[in-house]
Amino acid sequence: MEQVYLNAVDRPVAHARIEALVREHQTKLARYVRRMVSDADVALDIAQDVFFAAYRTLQAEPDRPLTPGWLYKTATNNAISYLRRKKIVRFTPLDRDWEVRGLRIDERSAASLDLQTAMHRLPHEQAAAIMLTSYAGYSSAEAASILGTTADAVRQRVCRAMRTLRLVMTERSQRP
Amino acid sequence: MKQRRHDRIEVLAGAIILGEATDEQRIEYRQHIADCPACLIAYGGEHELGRLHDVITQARDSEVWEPDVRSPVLARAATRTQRIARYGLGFLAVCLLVSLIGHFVVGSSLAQMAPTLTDPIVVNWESNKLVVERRSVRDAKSPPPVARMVVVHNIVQLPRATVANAARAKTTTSPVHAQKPQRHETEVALEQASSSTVAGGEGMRSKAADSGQAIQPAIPIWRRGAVGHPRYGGEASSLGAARPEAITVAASYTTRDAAPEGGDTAINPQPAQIAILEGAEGTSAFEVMVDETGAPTKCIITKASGWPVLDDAVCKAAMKIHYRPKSINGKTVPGVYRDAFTFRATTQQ
Repeated sequence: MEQVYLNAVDRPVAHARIEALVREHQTKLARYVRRMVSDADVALDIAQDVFFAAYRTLQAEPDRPLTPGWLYKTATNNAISYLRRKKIVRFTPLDRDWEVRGLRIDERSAASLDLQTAMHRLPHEQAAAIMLTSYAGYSSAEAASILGTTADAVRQRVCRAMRTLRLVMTERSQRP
Repeated sequence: MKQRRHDRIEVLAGAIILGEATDEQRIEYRQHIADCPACLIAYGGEHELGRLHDVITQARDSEVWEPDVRSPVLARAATRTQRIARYGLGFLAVCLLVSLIGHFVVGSSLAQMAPTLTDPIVVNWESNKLVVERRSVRDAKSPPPVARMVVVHNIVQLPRATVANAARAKTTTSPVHAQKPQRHETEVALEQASSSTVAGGEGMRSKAADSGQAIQPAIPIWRRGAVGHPRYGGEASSLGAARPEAITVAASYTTRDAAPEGGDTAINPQPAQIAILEGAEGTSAFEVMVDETGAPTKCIITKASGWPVLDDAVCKAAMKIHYRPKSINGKTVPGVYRDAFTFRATTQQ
């Protein structure tokens, strides 16, 4: 009952802050997750989980400063967990462009398709590094703090991810 | 060493892609790919690295998907709060119900078991033993102790020697042995005064008084050694020398002027209840002036007990009774009767 009472007291604060966070970061975060998992519905679920976790954190600690980095870190961990679970039951698709079906038709530009194809060939750590830096706009140091590694490691992962992306683009350009 | 070099080049390439490389790092990267065709093929030049970064930027900018996460998140938050409140109220209701059921079940069970004082309920649980018995309020209360007062009747004789006795006291070498002290104890309770119990020696004392012979001194036990009695190691008393205070024991050759009719226990002081309640204690010595008819005319407290209520009780009792006056040549004369009472507070169940 004591917990219920505290929730009743802190609920307006948590609601106000979570509404501001959702309004500001929901689009970027959902798109980021969609690039990671290549599925819009799954991306929506993960984004909801991330914001709900933020809401519970604000309920417990109303004064805690929740940065966008906290949201991206939670989203990255959830996405990687989802990809690892999915990897167990995944089978090799016959359609080579199966991974881009999560994108809308009006979003299927050459660059977008190349990026999405390369994302499925990347290890999870490299995908998270390149999405946090080149896609979300974080520096290597900020991405390192989110991923729990060093800035040089993030740069190295970005470089290797770009190498894969370059190979994908070369293959796609050579396709009949 | 070569692997370390390639790792370093990857870090430099990543810094160039992210736009964080310094001029020195760019020069270092250029020099390396100029010497390493494999790295040039794998990563490309600086321009190629920048182009890949632009691909990602273009892909991001081409997205038009506008997800709505706000409504589901707020709905889940509201649902969770309502669920917690609902579970809390349900838990309280269950607790209340269980407590009510337990109250009635335990209460009815205890009523059916009906423990009594003679047949208590004994519950053995592990090493503990619980005994439930019914006991009335009257049984639970122990009777309060009854305050009582013990009155010790001391027969005090003041020295009064005749000329013949005084001469005999000077000439005789063997002292007269004192008799056993006379003590009469009377218990005075709050409710009623018990009848006086008379110790032995009364008959002897009455005979001595009747025959006019010298009465042997009665020495209180608690006054031993306080006077110079020969039996107790003191010197032979002379006239007037054995009276250090009013209640001192007289010498053996003293006589009594007057005696109460009915014996020494005829005087029965009954202190007021306040004396018993206050625990008054002390010895009260007194003198009663007796006229030739035997009637008491005056009572004087020669040694106060410290409690006026005790002194008043003693004098009141002494003035109630009738005395047998001294007779000289067949004619009664006025006299004085001296006595003392010791009051001791005691508590008996």
